[in-house]
Amino acid sequence: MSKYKEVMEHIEVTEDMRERVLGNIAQKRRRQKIRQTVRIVSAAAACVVVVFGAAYILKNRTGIDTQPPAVTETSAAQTTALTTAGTTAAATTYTTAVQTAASTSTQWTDVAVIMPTECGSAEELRTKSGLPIYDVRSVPFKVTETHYENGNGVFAGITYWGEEEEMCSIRVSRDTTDQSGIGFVEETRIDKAIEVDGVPVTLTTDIEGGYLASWITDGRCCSVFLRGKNNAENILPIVSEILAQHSAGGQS
Amino acid sequence: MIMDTHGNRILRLAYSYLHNMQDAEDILQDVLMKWVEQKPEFESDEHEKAWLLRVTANLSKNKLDYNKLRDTDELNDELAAEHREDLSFVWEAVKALPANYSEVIHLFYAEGYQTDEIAEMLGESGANIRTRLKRARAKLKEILQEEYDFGE
Repeated sequence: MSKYKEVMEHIEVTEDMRERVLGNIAQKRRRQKIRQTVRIVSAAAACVVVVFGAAYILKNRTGIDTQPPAVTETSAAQTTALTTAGTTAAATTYTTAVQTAASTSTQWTDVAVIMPTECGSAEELRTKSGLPIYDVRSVPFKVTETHYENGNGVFAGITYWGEEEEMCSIRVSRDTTDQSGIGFVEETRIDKAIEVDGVPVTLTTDIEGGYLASWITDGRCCSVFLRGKNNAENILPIVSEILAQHSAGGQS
Repeated sequence: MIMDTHGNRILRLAYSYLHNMQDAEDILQDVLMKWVEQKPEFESDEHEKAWLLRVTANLSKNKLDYNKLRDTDELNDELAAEHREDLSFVWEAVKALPANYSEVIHLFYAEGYQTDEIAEMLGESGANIRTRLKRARAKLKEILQEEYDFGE
């Protein structure tokens, strides 16, 4: 069976293959590091919000707890004169405190950091988030990875990654709040108002060269972020495709 | 660099399972990626080599189970282009074996491992590997005999 060994010696890692494999590994590692950093920062931000939110609520609750005895005492003390000025004032104070606490609690829910959950497909994402989001065909690079994220029904996102770190991220919000999650370098930020298929769209870019298109249709904020080659040129067909999808209910 | 010392060996083992270069290259990449991610510590070069081959075997078997493989065989094309019919026969015969036979043939003849070492690498008993090697040889003999008879 030395012939088998001779057969196998015909298989070798070529120079091209070597470069390809090592290049792909380096890219994957870079991508992993970026994701790891994003996760750490998100987790840290979530912790900060939870701590401050809890502290704020506790502070308000403490305020409430000091009020009921006054009400109870007054209520117990009076049997006939419920409408005396003092009792009314105490009751009002208590109610106001409760309302403040309730509204604070609501605010805290709204500002909590959303930890998206991964879905397996656009269809699953639509079902879980209840938002109209579809795969797009006009992504201007060869897609090697796709991620579907449900932001707790607050937003739904699809992110496409390419071989050379190109990225296209689509997000649809449940309301008019911008959930694109993209930050720009303020000193170099440029906003431009354009119109795509009759819909006003804001294009934003900065020194780093990524392009964000955002617009509002049917009471929802939609956005596309594109990073790669010819961003400005390539982002508009994606916007157009999403607008067509939404007007056709995903049938375009 | 691991690619220089073990790249060919990983690619060859993967090819012996998958029979095409593109899928074998994917496995090579996945194995090196695992090595980079896990940064395993090895007692010796032999230990490292065995780890790499074990991971290659596992990933290749997963691919065999869950993916549709490409229908090309660059090795066979190359042997045909070189007019090495003798080697072509051998390769076709090994290819025709079930994967659990051809892996033992590959590790024994191409990598030079003893049956007990193969057993340890694949997590099986030495007796089991010896039986498989014996049956694989018999099967190979049968296939090659048919090929040569056909050629006559």
